[in-house]
Amino acid sequence: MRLSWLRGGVLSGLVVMGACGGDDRPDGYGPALRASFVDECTTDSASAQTCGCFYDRLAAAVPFDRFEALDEALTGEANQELPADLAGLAAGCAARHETIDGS
Amino acid sequence: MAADRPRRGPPRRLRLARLAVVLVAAGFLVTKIAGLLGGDDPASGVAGLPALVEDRAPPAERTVDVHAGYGTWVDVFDYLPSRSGEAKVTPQAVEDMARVGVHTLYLQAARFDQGGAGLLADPDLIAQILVRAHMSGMQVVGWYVPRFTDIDRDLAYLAAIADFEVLGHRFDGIAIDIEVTSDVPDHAQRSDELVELSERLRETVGDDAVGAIVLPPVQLEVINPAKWPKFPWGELADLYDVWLPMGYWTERRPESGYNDGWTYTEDNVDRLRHDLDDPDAVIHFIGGIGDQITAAQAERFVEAVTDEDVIGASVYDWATLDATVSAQIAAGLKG
Repeated sequence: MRLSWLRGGVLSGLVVMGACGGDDRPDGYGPALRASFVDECTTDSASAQTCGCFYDRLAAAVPFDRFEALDEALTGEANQELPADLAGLAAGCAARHETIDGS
Repeated sequence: MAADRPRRGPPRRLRLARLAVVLVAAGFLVTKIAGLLGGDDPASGVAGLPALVEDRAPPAERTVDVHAGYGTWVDVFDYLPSRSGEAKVTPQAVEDMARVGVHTLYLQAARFDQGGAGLLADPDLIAQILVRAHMSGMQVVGWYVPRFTDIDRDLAYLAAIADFEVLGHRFDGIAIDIEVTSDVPDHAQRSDELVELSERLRETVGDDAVGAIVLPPVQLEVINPAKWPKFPWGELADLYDVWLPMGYWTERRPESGYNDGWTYTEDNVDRLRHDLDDPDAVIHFIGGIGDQITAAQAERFVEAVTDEDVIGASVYDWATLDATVSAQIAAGLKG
């Protein structure tokens, strides 16, 4: 059973957490968002190092309003088109930090 | 009278505050429970991209189909930053390639004399290009130029290309660029090294389709027979699945009659199939050089590769070929 539509992006997660702690939705890249992002992103094939690198590259290259829009757009729909530039950033970080063949 | 009524509960403001707390807590619980029930669901939002990219990895098998249709070429001198920090071809160019109709990107993934500890030229950049190409509906062939002075080392580079994987994405094809003659001057010894490397590469990759990027037969047999005498076509014929002759007609002198996209292509394809003793040999023909090709030349090139029934065609290289001519060739091949 797939319930990822209920989960929301990393920003939605921060809003829920923020409601309990009294904070608001972040209006820019920062340490709290980075920590939540890395936590949400880390999987068997993407380590915390890879996810931290991915976040840092996003923060350097992607305006925050686009990040917000994509965070919402990439939540829920199973067959959505993935932004090639962001996919490339994630892959570059994985190549840098994961144990991969060929390097 | 109202002031005398007994209270049935807490004041209205307190009840609302409690309700808000309950709603927030419920929302938090729903989120957490959904996360737990989701089990191995990929993370959502931008943070879920690495998992989503992995989910979209193409099938692992490597067939000659990757060489079908229109291709383009990028070498290490194009995508690795120069001393000034600039690169002629950035990962962003991949989307431009897709827009003009490129099906396959041929990417030089390693080079013999590269520095650094790894075998691949730049895994970070290669991964970006590879995954962006896949996300744009393209395929990528990784290639390498062996020098034949150290077969173990040549094979290690090719194996590294074959084994490279990032977030589940691999090269869709592997190719070996057979063109260096200077490092092993003795042509017989060079041929022996080439055949041995080819046999060992075949053992290494198993049933994966492998492409041989070769000097064009017209160059070896007509233009400059001393370049690589007795090239071992027969011994290589069964070791490769697809042949990619570097048929750069722009490098031929007009008086030779080969400075033409139709003539040079047609003669090279015929000779190649004869040399391989295989009239059905699978060929992806490489024309060039990009910055010297006019629209009229491109039209004749498309006519030739269509007439010769090759599986695909391309022009060397992306950095030098005008985007309009590139789109013209792509459209002509779809024809």
